[in-house]
Amino acid sequence: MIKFLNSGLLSSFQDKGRYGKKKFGVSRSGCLDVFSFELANRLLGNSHDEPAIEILGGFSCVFLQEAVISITGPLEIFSVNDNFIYQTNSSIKMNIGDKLDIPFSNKGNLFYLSVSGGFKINKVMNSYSYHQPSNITDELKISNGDIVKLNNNIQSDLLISDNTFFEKRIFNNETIRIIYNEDINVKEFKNIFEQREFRISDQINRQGIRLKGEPLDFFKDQNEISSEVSAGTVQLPPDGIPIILLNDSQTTGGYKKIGSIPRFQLSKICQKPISSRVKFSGISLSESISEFRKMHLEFNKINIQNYTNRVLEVNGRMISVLISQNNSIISIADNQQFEIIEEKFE
Amino acid sequence: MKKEFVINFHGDSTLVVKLGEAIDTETNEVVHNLIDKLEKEIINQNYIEDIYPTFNNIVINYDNLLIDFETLKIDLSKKISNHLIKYQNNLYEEKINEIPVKYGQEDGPDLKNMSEKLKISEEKIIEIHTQSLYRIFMIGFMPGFPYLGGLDKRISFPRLSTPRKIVPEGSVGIAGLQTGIYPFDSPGGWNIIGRTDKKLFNADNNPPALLSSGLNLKFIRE
Repeated sequence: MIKFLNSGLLSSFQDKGRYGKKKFGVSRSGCLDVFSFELANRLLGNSHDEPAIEILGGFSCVFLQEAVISITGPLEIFSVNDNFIYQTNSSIKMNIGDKLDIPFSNKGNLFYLSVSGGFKINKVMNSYSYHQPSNITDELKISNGDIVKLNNNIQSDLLISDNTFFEKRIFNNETIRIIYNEDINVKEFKNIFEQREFRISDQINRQGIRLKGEPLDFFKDQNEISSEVSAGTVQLPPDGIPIILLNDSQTTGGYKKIGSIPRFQLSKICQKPISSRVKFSGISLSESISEFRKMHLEFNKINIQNYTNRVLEVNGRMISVLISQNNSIISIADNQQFEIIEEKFE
Repeated sequence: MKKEFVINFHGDSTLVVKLGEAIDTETNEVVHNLIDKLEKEIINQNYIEDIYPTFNNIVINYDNLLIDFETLKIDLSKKISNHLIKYQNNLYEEKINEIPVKYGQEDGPDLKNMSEKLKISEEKIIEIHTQSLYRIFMIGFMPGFPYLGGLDKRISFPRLSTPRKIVPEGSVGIAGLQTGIYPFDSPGGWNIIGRTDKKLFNADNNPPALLSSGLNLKFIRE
């Protein structure tokens, strides 16, 4: 069992989402950063769709049993019980009584916590995904003090992932690509929109991201018929500030739609920290699909290797040493400071 | 009878079959009739993530790792053309759902502003709103939310320019020529004129939504 001490801004169970329910007005939900989500399961030998905890804005819990867990998301180094450190995008052995903290990060928004074998939870409408804008899935939301049971552990090896894919594809400052809708053929609009710099506002949740910036003076007189919207749809309300809809958005909406963020960019936009700068650039449908396919191939080839963790006491200081298969020391740390040294033993 | 349709992409994983440009009963009936047949034909394909109707469109979300837009478009065009040739209008049953509403004051914070701008008394707006019979064109926006057609033009009113962060569950609103009910507390840009205690959505029920498209609805002043 795990007991949750702090659920942060929003911690919830998520899988890949709830399909086929949009005719009842139920949006897909599901993990916002599907690559970090899938990595969390891959590090544990779980099925790729095993529900994980999606963490937004800080988290802590205590383990009431032994477990092998994984934490993925923004590239950070955190400590457990203040005496050993771990790196995100790795699996970790937790002992009875261990307290896990995942602090707020300024490198990204969403962490995923998975356990080997999975959590013992129930589906709602055929999915384990919490749906924020309704109360239909409240048991899949995590609140302070909640306890969840775990299934039997299925893997004891500890694994660590190479971060190159995530640095290159998700945690970077390149422009966000957008596929314009076919009726947005106003050249002047595209030019101005792509020159403008926006920021991620603090209004970011599972339903969408509201940007900040100088209002766009286009499509002021809207009288749109409400029609479909999906994760990635970019709306421009009459106030001229774009909104990017995410997985828990409404299923239909009435503001002017200028286009959509393609799937290969969704993890990236969801992980952009509050206040960070955002610029957009157009992309064709065919190019965005070939990028998405390339991204999946790269993801499937991510180098994942075994490691061992030694906690040493040197001159009264606790030091964590992660040693990978090829005898590289991945990181060394103590409870005062940490640094990363990448050096061969020999 | 409308037999033309256009297929567009929205982003890299949504295909939209457009069957008309306006909110009208005839187009919406074509949408519902067609989607019933289309859904049966394609729902078991592994690349279909979702298929649902809107006022004038059929919307399909697909897995773009398994099929590309052009292939799907060609396949659907053939299927839709075949159905539209044989199209016969199925009339929906004339069942009326009654929704009791408390209008104005804290239940309908935008009624006063609408009354001032429209120069119609609050009482008159309520009277007009309760007189009409509304068609449920689609369920969307959020679980169980009915988009209703048939709002009297005299009380049409534009959306708020900046949406509210929270609109309470059961709120009855107006946006342009549309009126509807919020099933849950949620953000929203509609003008709120009243509130109902009816539960519009229950995940344990089958179907989970209280209302379904094709039926009629009437607001009753409580």
